Amino acid sequence: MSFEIAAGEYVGIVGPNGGGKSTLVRLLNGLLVADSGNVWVMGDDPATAPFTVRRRVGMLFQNPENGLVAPFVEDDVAFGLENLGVERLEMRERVVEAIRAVGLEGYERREPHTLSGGEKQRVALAGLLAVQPEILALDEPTSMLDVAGRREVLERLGALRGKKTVLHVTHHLEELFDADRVFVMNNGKLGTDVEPMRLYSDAELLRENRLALPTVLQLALDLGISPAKAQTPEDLAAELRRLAASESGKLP
Amino acid sequence: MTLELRDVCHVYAAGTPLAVEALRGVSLAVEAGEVLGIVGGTGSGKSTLVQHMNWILRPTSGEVLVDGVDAATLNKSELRRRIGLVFQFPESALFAPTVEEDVGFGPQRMKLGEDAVRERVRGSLAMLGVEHLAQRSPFALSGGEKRRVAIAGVLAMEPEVLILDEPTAGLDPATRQDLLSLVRTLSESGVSIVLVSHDLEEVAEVADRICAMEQGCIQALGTPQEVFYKNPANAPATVRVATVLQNSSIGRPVRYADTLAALRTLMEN
Repeated sequence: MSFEIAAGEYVGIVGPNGGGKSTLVRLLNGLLVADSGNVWVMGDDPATAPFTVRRRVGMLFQNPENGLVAPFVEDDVAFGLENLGVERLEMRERVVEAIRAVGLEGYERREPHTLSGGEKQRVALAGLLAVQPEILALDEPTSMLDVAGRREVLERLGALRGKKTVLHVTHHLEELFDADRVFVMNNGKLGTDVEPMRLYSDAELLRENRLALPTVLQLALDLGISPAKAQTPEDLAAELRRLAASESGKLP
Repeated sequence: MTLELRDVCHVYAAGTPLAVEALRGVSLAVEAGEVLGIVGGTGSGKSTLVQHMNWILRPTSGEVLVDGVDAATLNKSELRRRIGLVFQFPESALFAPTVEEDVGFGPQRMKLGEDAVRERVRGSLAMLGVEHLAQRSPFALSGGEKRRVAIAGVLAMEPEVLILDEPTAGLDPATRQDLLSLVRTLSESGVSIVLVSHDLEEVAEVADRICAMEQGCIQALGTPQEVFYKNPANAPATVRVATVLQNSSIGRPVRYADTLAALRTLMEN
């Protein structure tokens, strides 16, 4: 597969289990090395310059438990900086800022194991942000969280839009509503590269790739309503009401 | 089989400063052949609740009754065969060199004959659509395949009650649909199903009754319609759309197909 992503883009990656999504993400920072072909991250090859590349690509995985190492939240956020040998004063500043960016002020001295899943995932995200990577690679960052936790994490990710280049792997298509484009991966290939609204309204493409729309978008598709008007159930209801009113307005 | 919990409380690390009251007086019956959905946020007590159903956890106070008999007095391995529990991320318990041996472990321990074991293994792998993996190593499978093999291992013991704790977490949508169809098939054949999930949409599609947990208590128990329309802020998208419309002609649909039909009618009129 071949593709290029520009600085500041928000790219979603979707597709069935075993389609190659996680493999792709792991090629970006040298956790896996390509058998053939080249990977360039801001001009560097992650296979030969993994440390340079890893400072630029922050990765967030599915299970927040797996990434947390330190006894307190602030130590955990500082962990990456310690490894990079960042000076103490600057480290303090960056940790404070990263914790603020994920909305966890006041949690500095909490022990990570006492936090909810959503909070843990935000601690992990703060740890990434502290290293100030240009690129974030997110591998199903919300799939183990409950509704509230998902909302928290998505809000924080949304706030990074435009500031960071983001690759976001997910099974939840609605998380990509604001993405610039979506890669559909299947059988180790980049099948399609589309805008989210086109993906949401293409029943054939969805079926071919075993993708399922969230209920609201599926209702919109089945009722012939534009997905842009069905971001939430409330939006869809408002649109239905508007349509019903304008229909009856036409009657003699 | 009827499974009943009476006023069950559970305290983790009781008597220590770390004591946590995870269940606070839960009473609930799982009726024969029903699909009972258990929903609630992280930490609401869902997993603690279902682990009492086959005595993996013992209640700090209260009783678990199996067909009216106190579970404390029953043979535990027999109880756990009749009430199968599939933990969260059950694939982490796969252990045998091949899928066939892994799934056959339970039936073998039940001292069934070789043919009967093979029959059970084949049957439960087929139900999950993974019979072609029988000779593979469970460790070399994809996440979704491992999950299905792990569930097959519990089904091979032919439980009367099957408890699934977040069985679809991390599965792709198509695999998830297959698993939900299996839940329906099993329940039609008389197996009771307890489905724990934080995905309200999937519970809405298959459950006969819903038990909504909050902070260790049952916050609501009833049909999906009763539970979800009582608290539409915490309901599947179908219910939220119908609630906002507040149109008497669409009624109170919960399942997707019913909702779509109701909305189509609304648009046509």
